[in-house]
Amino acid sequence: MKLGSLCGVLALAAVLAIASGCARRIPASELGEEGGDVEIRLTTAAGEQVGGRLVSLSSSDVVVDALYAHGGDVSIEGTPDRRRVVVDGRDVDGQVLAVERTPEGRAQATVRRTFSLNEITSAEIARSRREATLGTLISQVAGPAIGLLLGLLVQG
Amino acid sequence: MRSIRACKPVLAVLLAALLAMGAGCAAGPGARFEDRIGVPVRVTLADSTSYGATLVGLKEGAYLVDREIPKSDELVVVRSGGQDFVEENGRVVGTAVEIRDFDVVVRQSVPPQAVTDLSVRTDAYFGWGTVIAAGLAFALVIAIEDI
Repeated sequence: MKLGSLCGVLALAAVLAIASGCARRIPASELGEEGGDVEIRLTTAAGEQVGGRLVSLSSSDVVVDALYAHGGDVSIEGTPDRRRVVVDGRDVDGQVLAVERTPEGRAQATVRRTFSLNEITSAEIARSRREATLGTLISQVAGPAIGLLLGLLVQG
Repeated sequence: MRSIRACKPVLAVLLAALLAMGAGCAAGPGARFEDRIGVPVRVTLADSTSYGATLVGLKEGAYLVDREIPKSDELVVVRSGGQDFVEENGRVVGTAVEIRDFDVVVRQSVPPQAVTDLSVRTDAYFGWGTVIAAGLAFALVIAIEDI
């Protein structure tokens, strides 16, 4: 192997090692505080289905920023400084964090809710759409691009 | 030889396009929630053992994780009641999600009380696929130049 090629391989390894350092490890109980982006869909023993962003997962409970879009059985009521979310005529437990408009123009409330781990019958946990999409894009473009550039640089 | 050198930018662009298309064949996770299930985690148990896994959900108060266990003589997959159970040293360690050439993806139910630390790996955009694609692109450029 030529010296240039060897340098290229070493540079490639270095670039990838540095880039892989972007990954972070966050305790599951501190996902919200640390900016972790994980989604959850859960079903409670009472049959309630909740979906949203996972804020915290500990050995005793699960905290979720649950999303409720206005319409159907869901209504967002109250004054701007005292919002409440009503589903099937019953108030949803939890703190209403925000009410925003979806791209379709519907009002959507974010409610921080806490569930005991024992009251959850089942749940599915997924990577956020942003991270999943970005991961695919980067792996499709960055890998070939880095290799290509290094190859061209080495060949001069 | 000279004509190949003159075509270098075109070859490079073609190569990049081919690689990008090839990488795309690996299929992205898509926008649907069902296609994105599973986050990489590190599980540390009370006995200080630690392993990497994929947290896929919760069931009846326990964490559900998918773990890759290398094939060995101690690892046996037993079909019972229409389900593939994985036994390690005669003890059931979970159900088989996928049996691959070198390992078995095992779904385990882990009681939270047995876990001292559960940490989520996030912003991990670079994996082995990136390394392989980069290495392939690099090797191809060198090969083309050596023609």
